Amino acid sequence: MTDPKALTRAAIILTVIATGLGRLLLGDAYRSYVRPSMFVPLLLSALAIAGLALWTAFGFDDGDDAAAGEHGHEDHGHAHGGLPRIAWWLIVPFACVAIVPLRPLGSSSVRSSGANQAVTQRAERPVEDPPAADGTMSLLDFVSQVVNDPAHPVDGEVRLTGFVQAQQDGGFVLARFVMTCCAADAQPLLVTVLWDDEPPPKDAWATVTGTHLPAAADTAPEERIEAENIVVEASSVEVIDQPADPYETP
Amino acid sequence: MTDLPGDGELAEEQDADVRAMVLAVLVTVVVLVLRSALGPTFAAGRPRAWMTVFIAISVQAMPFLVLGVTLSALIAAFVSPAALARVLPRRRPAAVVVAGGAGFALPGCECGAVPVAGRLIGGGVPAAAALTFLLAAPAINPIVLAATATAFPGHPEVVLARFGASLATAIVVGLIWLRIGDDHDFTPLIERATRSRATGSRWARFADAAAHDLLHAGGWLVVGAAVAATIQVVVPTSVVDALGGLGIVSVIVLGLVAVVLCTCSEADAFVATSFTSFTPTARLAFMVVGPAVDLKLIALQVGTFGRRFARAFAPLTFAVAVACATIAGRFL
Repeated sequence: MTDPKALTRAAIILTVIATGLGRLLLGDAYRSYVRPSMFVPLLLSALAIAGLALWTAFGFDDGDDAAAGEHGHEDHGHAHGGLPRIAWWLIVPFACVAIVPLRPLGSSSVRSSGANQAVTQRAERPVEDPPAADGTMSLLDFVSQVVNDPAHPVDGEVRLTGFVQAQQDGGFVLARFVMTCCAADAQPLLVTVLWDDEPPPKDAWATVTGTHLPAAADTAPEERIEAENIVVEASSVEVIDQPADPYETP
Repeated sequence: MTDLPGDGELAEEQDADVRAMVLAVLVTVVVLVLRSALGPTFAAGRPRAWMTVFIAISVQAMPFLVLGVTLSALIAAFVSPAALARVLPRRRPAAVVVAGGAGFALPGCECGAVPVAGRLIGGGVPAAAALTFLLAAPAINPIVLAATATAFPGHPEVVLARFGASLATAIVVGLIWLRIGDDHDFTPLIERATRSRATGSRWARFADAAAHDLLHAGGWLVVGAAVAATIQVVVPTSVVDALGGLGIVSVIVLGLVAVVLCTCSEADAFVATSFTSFTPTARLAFMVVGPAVDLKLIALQVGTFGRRFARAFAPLTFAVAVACATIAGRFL
């Protein structure tokens, strides 16, 4: 890339990427897409790309006139002067950051098959964190203990936070995604909540306080993992703002 | 450059300033209009699901792409073809095997490995060896194996099977490429590298190579992310689950799912455990195919090596990966 026009265009594209990444890193927006520990790598990438944008815009004008070099091989889809035409696509996701509401996965991404499978990865690990004094538990801990350790039912009050996946007769389904790297690999956890009052609207976030109703003793082991067999009888349902970390991590 | 700008040039510069300002205002207006027009559409339902996955894959890949592009630009700017040739055995089959082993030592991610392989070929490394490295680096590095061990607690044989099948895939594809790939023309890559070595300072070459590789590979990556997000949102998983019990078909099906989902190699083991209706062999195929061939990788390869290459390489890799996983699955 030695043609000045191609360099300007490259600088524009790189600036959009760095700006979009920067926007996601302000506040908690990036946590709707990737795991929290990606903050530093993403920040370094944004800085590196911004540096490259500056270099591309200002660093090449020391009399380098080999512009005749890079004429496109048709196979690569090069535009004239060295900037591959495909590079413009890079603008799309990072411009979308400025255009669309920045939301985590929600109810429409929950597929019923494969729900709660995330707990099978901890089959042989006991729940590490006992519930806090007020019963606060991650949904992953709660479902793990219910599914993997039916001999030790979850006693007393629990406080679970998630979003409403669906409203049902006599309650609703509370959901949360478990994410390893990014939203593309997120897996849903689903719990049935019994609640007589008006359930919160779909996709609203809520903290549910209640007690676990163990599944019937004759429930087949492979059915214990299904949402309708993981039931919490709620004593209170509090609608809350979306938490800073919309996902749980395994 | 040292001449004082004449009147004409001054006017031209002012013109450029005005144009830049007009452009900036226009872009701001367009963004604001799109925001109010498209914002509500992407606030809920399937458009929101699509957008979240699309942005997530693009963002998640950036650090790995930057790392890979840094490495590829370092190779382009600072490593001479002679030095590369010294590292690898002269006999090409041996070079392929060494490149497979190098994949274990250099933790890469699939997004970063493609531009690195491109620069290795540009630096004169036999294509088959560079491609073996491309397949091995994201699949068998210690980080990926540790993630696999975490996802399958108490089943170290899954980790071993994954390591064996992935390394075998990388080496077998490399050896096959030695036989059938000779007619493929990588001279554009080599010519570009030679031309680039002839110009500018080393750091200028580094920045030029980094910008080129980032823009080239990144553009295709975004196309891959868009296709993957579309399929994730559109194809009902019940269709996939129904195919779980069908023996060898189920292995191929989960292999195809890996191609479509574009999960990072560090995360795919966790996703693999969620396919409960599938056999262990099919889940192994998911983990062996994923880092070797998926939509974003195919897109990256089109960008780096060309369309014709990807048309031959992707099916070859898929077939070898499924075969290796099926064989290794016998030990599960």
